[in-house]
Amino acid sequence: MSGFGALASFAFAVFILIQSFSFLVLMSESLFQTMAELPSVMVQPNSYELYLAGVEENNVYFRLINNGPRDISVKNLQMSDLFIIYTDVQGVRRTVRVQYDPVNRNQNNTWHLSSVTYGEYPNEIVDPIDLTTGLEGIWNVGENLVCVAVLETVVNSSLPIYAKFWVVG
Amino acid sequence: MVSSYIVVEAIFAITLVITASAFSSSFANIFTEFGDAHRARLNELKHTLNKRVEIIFVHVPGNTSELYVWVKNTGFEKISFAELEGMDVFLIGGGVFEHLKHGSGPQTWSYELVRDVTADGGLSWGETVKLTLRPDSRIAQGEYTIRLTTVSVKAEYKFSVGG
Repeated sequence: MSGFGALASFAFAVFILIQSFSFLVLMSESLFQTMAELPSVMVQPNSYELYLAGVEENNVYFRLINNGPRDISVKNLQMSDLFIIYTDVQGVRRTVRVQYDPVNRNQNNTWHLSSVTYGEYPNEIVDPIDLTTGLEGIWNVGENLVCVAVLETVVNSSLPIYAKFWVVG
Repeated sequence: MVSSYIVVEAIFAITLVITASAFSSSFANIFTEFGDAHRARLNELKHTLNKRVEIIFVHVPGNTSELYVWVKNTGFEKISFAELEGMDVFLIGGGVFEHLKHGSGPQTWSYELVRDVTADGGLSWGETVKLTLRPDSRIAQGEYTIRLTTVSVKAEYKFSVGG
């Protein structure tokens, strides 16, 4: 093969490589763009933990921890679901859905916030939650909401209590 | 002699151009198909994430033949009440296979919004609806599956009774 043939072969090989690379870059960019449009809240939902802290008459005390990855507004608690299965002092097993109600704090089958801590430390460092209204503020990652659920009957504290919590955000 | 070399080289060069074009064209097609397949998969995922419900809790009271199911809209799109009412509910397990339709009476289900936060005529993001299922027969001890299906969403939940 002459010099011209070798040059032409090399030029075409380079052309094919450049074209393939361009296609790869364009496709990848387009795919990444589509992925970026997915809402992060959907791709990686927040995780929460609930710990029962104690029982007193018809009050159940518990802690909710936001394990992240995002901070959420306490307004979202209006759309939360808390289910408690317990046994009352008459020996009747009850399953109740307890509604977040920061206004009517003594109403049966409701729950509200009593304080907020950061880990074991009292009070908040950033984005304070207004405990009076219970509807303003941010529940930051790592913060513990100390909560009280007011149930309709007195709870038998010697028997186990099961609680399940759901919130979006 | 020299001219025959030029002819051979020209033929060789033309063959090279045709081969290279065919090769790059097939490469381009492969990449395009690969990209399209992934884009379609991502769009499907996006649709699934935007329109999604989850069964979060099931309660079977001991003294009634009714069954309570709490369903949460965890997708970003609102689910209209019309779509909700068109939902098919299946109860499978314990020797039972029941297809429940929205309404009243046996083999039906009804719903109530537990808290309408946005009041926009549908089940918005984060809102929960409580379904009351009325199967034809009383729920006996055993393992069951509830399956909810509409045109665009589906959800499944396993639970057991008795024990």
